Formats: sequence, C-alpha cells, structure tokens
Amino acid sequence: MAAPTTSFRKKVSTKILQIPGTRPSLHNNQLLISSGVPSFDSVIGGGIAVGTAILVEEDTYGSYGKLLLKYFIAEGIVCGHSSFLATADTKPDQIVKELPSAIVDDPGAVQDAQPSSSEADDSMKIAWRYQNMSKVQAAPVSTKFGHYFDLTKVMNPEVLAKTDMRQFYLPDEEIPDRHSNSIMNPAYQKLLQDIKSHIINKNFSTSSSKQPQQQRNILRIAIHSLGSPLWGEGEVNPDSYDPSLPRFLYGLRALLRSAFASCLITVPTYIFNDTAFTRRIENMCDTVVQLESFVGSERETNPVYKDYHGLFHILKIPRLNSLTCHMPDSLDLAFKLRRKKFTIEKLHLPPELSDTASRPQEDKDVVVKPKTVGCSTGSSKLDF
Amino acid sequence: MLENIVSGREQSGSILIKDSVQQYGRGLLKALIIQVSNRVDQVHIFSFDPNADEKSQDLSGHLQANVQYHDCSSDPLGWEGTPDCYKLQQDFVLYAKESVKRVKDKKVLIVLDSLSPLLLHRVTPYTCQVVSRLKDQDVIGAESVQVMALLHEDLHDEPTSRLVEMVFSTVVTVLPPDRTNCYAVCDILHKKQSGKVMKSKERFSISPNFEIQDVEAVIILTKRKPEGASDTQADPAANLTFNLSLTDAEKEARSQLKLPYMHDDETKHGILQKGTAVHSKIFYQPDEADDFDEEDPDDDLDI
Repeated sequence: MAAPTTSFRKKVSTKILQIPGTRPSLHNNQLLISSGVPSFDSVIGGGIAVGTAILVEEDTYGSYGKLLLKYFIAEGIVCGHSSFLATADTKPDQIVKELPSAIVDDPGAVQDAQPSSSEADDSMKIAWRYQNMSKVQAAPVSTKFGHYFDLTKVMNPEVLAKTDMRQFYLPDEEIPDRHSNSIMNPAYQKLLQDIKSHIINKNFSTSSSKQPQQQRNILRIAIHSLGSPLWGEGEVNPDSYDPSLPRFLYGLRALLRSAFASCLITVPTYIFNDTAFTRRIENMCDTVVQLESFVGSERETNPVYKDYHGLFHILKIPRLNSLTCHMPDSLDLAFKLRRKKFTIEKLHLPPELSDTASRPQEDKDVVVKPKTVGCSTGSSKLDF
Repeated sequence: MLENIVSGREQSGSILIKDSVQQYGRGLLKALIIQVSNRVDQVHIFSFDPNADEKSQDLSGHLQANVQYHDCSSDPLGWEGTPDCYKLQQDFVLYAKESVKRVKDKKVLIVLDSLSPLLLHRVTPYTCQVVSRLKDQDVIGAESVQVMALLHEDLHDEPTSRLVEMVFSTVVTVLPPDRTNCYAVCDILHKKQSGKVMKSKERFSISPNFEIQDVEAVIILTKRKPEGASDTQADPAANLTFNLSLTDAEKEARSQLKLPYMHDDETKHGILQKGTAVHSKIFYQPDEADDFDEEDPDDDLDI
C-alpha cells in the first residue's frame, strides 16, 4: 500500500475538545461556554471564551448583576460543569438555593410564533413592497447552546447535590492580618490562592497530563460583588491608592489563561469614587459589560424605555487570537426580565443615515425626550 | 410602605435610619424599636451616642423586660478602663457576641444607636463588615437577627454613607417637614429578598407614646399646572381638516376604494395571468412562397 504521499495536508482542527456545554467560536475557533442568557452570548460574540474573565459592572442596587451571576452558575450546573462560587455578603448556600431551574424548550418560540402568523394574514395594502421583507428580529435566535431559566422555580436539590461546587464565603475563611508590605489585600490573596489550588488539584489546568482528554471539564468561577467594602476594599488609608484589586485580577487572568476555566465577576463600580480605578479594573478583564437599571432613575417612567428594565452597555469585547474583535450589530442594547426569560435586545433601530432620507435634526430629540403633543391622556403624570 | 415595614408585613433584615441636624431620627428609631420588640424575644441596644441614661428612661415605660442596653459610649478610647464598655479599637462583632447571650432559638433585634463613632474611628469597610456579620444569625447564634441602625448623615461624606447604605436592605432617610404642615417626611428605599427595589416618599408623625401615625404617601408633583389651565383636556381631534373617527360603514367604504399603484390580489392575479389571457390572436396563412419545413430537426415543434 505505497500510496503517494504529499507534504500537503488538509488542515484539520484537532485541538477542539468535545466538552458538554461548549462549542467552538465561529470567528476564532476559541472554545466557548454559555453565560446562561442566550441573548447575552450572542451580543458578546457567541459566548464566553474558556480561559477569559468577564466583568459585569453591577446596577445600582445590584439585583440584576446578581441575577446574571445566578444564570452563569445555573447554566454550568445544567451542563455538568464544575463551579467555584465566591461571595462576601450573601452566603453561597443562599445563592445556590435560589438558582433558577432550566426550561427544556424555549418558551419564547411558542409565543413569538403566534403573533407572526396572524400578522401575515393582513397583507399590506399601500406599502405592499415591504410585505416580503423579513421581519425585524429584536432578539437573536438561539441555537441549542445555552438554556432559558424559569425564575419562579428553583433548581432541583438532587441535581444540586450531585454537582461539583466549591464555595468560598469570605467570613468563614481564615484571613491573615494585613501586613504593610503585602502585595495585595489578604482577602483577595486568599481567594486567588484557593482558585489556584482548586485548578491544580482538580486538574483543570491545560498542562495537567493526568486527566485524559475525554474527561476534561470546565470550571466556572463566579465572584459576587468583588471590590465591595465587605471584601475589605478601601481598608487601608483611603487617601492612598490600593492596587489590590487590579493586582488580583491580573493574577486571576494569568491563572485562567492556562486552565479550562472561565470567570464571571460582578463589581459594584458605582461605589468607586475614582473613575480611573474603574478603568483599571476594566482593563484587567477580557470582556466588560455594564448594567444600568432604571430603578429609581427618571428613565423608569420614560415611555421610550417602558418595555425594558435597564440599559446594557458593552464596554469591552476581547480580541482573542486575532487583531479584531467581534462587533455586535448594535451597541444600543437594553435588557428586560421576564419570569422565564432574561433578554438583551436592540433598544431601537439605528437611525437612517442614507442620503435619500432627509430628516430634520429635531427628530432625534423627539425620541429621547418625548414632548407632549396634545394626544396624551389626562391622568398621566408625564403630562408636562 | 413605612407601615408595612413597621408591622413586619414587609420582611427586612436590616433597617438604616439616616437623619441630619435638621430632622432628628431617633424618634423614629424608638418608635420602630417599640413596634418590632413585640415580635422578637430580645432587644439589644448598643448606644454609641453619649446620652444612654436619658434614653433608657425614655423607652423603659414602653418596652417589655427583654431589653438590654450595652454601653458603648462612656469610655470609647479605654482611658478610664471601664469594664464591659466597648472600646473602639476592639472588634465589635466579638463584643456583640459576648454581650448577646442565651439566644438559642430566640429572635433578636440588635440596635446600633448611631454608627457615626464607629465610622469616624475606624475605616468605612469595617463598619460595613460589622453590620453584614451581625445580620447573619449564625454569628450570634440566634434563630433570627434583625439589625437596626441610626446614621447621622451630615457627619460623613457622601461616599461613606453610600457604602454603609449598601449593606442595609432598607434605608429610611428622615427629612424635615415641608412648610405647609407639621408632618415629618421620609424617603424609603427597600430592597426585597427577590432583588426587587421599591422606593417611596411618605409623611408620618410620631405620637408621645412613640406610635407612628398618619402615614401617607407623598405624591411628587413634577410640575404645577399653569394658572388658568382648565382641567378638561382639549380634544386633539377637534378642528382637524381630516376625519379621525370613522364609522364602520365609512371604513368599509374606504377599504373598497382602489388607489393608484395599489397592489391588491386582483392586479397581482392580472399580472400572473397576462401570458395566457386572450387579448389578441395571430392568424397565419402560409402562401406558396413560404418555405414550410416538414422536418423538425430540433424535435421541439409539435407537428
């Protein structure tokens, strides 16, 4: 069988591992895991790349940030991933108890299908050319990657008991006193050491040879409200600059790069006085998103935002193995929370910028600050 | 909202009352302690503000015997060496653990009467951690723990109070009454366990027996109506050059109307049927000169 062999060989991606709950990225072949919110995955380029850290800047009262954290862990449990949950205020047990249960089929698909069929019946009479246009799709369609979760139900305790989870509750850990010459806050140092030993002991490291390729699993690290006063941020003289948190993130990222692990960190950046400090933290993470909830702000009652619970800002998307990053269609995103679905959607269509469309400049203002045009109802508080 | 929190209908593990020199918040704190003390087994008041005796007299008539005062103000820096007095360099959580005893299967209310000395002598995160630890019933060893604290907001800068507010589930800011009446006003921010955040502004008064009365939500008027504006809304559909309110018959008539360039089913059908429609026919009569080929080399003619 002396077949003529050439040096030319078809490129075969041998590196891609088959781990449940993961898929390779379409852009750079990076292994991705779902964040637990399918629309969140799609806006950041398909999912969270394994080996990266994602930073969620919390909304003012932290409720939606905590929710994203729960989705992240719940998705890991459904996919059979290991997890590492670190908190300083709420006990990890409490968070685990509140994890939502997964919905097997997509609840949105059934609901969305019905109105569209009725819409098709009444054909357009005047603007008939638009009839054959595809429907505007606010929320992108999901594939079988990532799950929806029902917030009204909690996860089955039997499933929870089986999962491999390491919990880190700061007050229960033995934290040494702070030395003046220590490199960082002892709480962060302890957490970093724990993560490192967990990665090494449970063979999540890419260099570990003990684990056969087939039994690889993903470690999901979730850190809640990092940088809050309960983590001891700002314990040193408040006038001097404490570089602990950026240092911690630097070390964490270095650990993640050589491990089958991804990390989701929520940080209450609204409590930091120094915006430069926030920028430093953002710089130390791969993906950065910010939640801005409407609770308490005047936007809560603004009719433009009436369908949404807050704005979703994408601050940073990683450039992994390439010079460019994934660019979402629109950066004008908003989120809304329903019992069975947390969705991130395009806030509105981008403005018409083509030459043919000549619009007066005032149009933009009308959308943002709705002026009352005589058509409002009498009882409305918004009637200025 | 205030009533719900006072009566316990709205669960709140920790309540912060913020006051200022303009409006004294201790009255509301006392009223809350009296109300909550009916639902708990023990009340522990840690008084940091140096007028503890006066306070104990104030409350003694209204409370059951399960109240204990802990002196945290008479010797804050340990100069006199008073035993059982909290000194600011001590760990407060340890001190509280030692002070609050025999609480197994009991419901406990812990009152920190003014956080200000702690905040002024220790770094802000320390106070946040203390409150967060005290909220945890396992630290004290009780069945449930509720924490109440007073904060003199004007003694601290804004970032400090923002950090402190973060650890409390309910924040009540006491505001001076407005000029039209004598009720005190408070801003309430309540974070539910589910993550939902509720906000309201309410007015209230406190009776000599420390009962909270006359709670009423304050409706914030965004803008006063201009003078002489009539209450009845002007009908925007009046005086229009076109008709906005069509009757069913009129709508039916409108749908019958065929506009130019309208692309209804009939025209569509017409376009599709154009090829087969019998508009005209061509009759061809071959003459002698016509070269009629019998063959069909391409085999495509139907001869």
